[in-house]
Amino acid sequence: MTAHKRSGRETFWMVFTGITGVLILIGVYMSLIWAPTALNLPTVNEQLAQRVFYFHVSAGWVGYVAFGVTAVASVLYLIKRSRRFDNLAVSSAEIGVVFTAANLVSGSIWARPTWNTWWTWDDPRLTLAAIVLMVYIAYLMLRNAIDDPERKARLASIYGIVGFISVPLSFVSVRIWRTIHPAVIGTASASSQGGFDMSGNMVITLLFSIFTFSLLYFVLLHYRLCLEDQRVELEEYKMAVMADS
Amino acid sequence: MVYIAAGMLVFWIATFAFIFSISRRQRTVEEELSVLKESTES
Repeated sequence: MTAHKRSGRETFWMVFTGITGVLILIGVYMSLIWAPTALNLPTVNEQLAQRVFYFHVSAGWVGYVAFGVTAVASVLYLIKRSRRFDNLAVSSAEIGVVFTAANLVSGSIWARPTWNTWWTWDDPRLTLAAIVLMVYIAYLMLRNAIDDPERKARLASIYGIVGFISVPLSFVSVRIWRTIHPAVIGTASASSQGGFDMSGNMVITLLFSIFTFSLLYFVLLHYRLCLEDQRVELEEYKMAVMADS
Repeated sequence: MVYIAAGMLVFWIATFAFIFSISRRQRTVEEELSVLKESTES
């Protein structure tokens, strides 16, 4: 019965992964071909680079969501002391680091033809996004530095909650500080220089891209959680063997 | 064109590298677990 249930679950994830893959391919097509070219931009390079924006924003979104899940799972771990929540926190943080790094690099590639520079430390959004990435790389390093599983989970949970402060700060930075980074969601503040308009098909492409990246996040989270569960099983097995001998 | 290609490539390289890393770690854990189980059962 258990084996049957497990096989049903595995089938579900295989189908879900396949559907996500197909939707991502549709998203790539929409981003590269279907979405209209931003003809208001002055050079062809800028117009082409603008298409990176669909991946850039979606990767940033997944990064924020992933770190949010880490924070919530960390709170739940501290309340319930269940290893499952700690596994969820670390799995989500790892995915968040990958997507935030992709967000930063793709943003830098977009910035080169648009701002004529790869990076500027003068911009609050860029600096805060880099800080968010560093905070969560440090989170993963902290976990690797502690051997005792209980202590590791407890300290990482506290860090996961405190570290999350950097995430909303990065999100609102384009509205509360003077920045050249465009505000994509909501209205840019009067001091923001980078706000831009999107046509209907651009909005559809962006929303579809965010949706497919969110699905990709769930797929990756599932497989990463399976790995973490197995690691815990191995750890517990080793401890049991050591206790017996 | 170079910028959009680079932007896309960076993202997909990062994603596939992560998937590869999960699969490699999973294989290592599975192997270690089966070796440990075999050694304790024998």
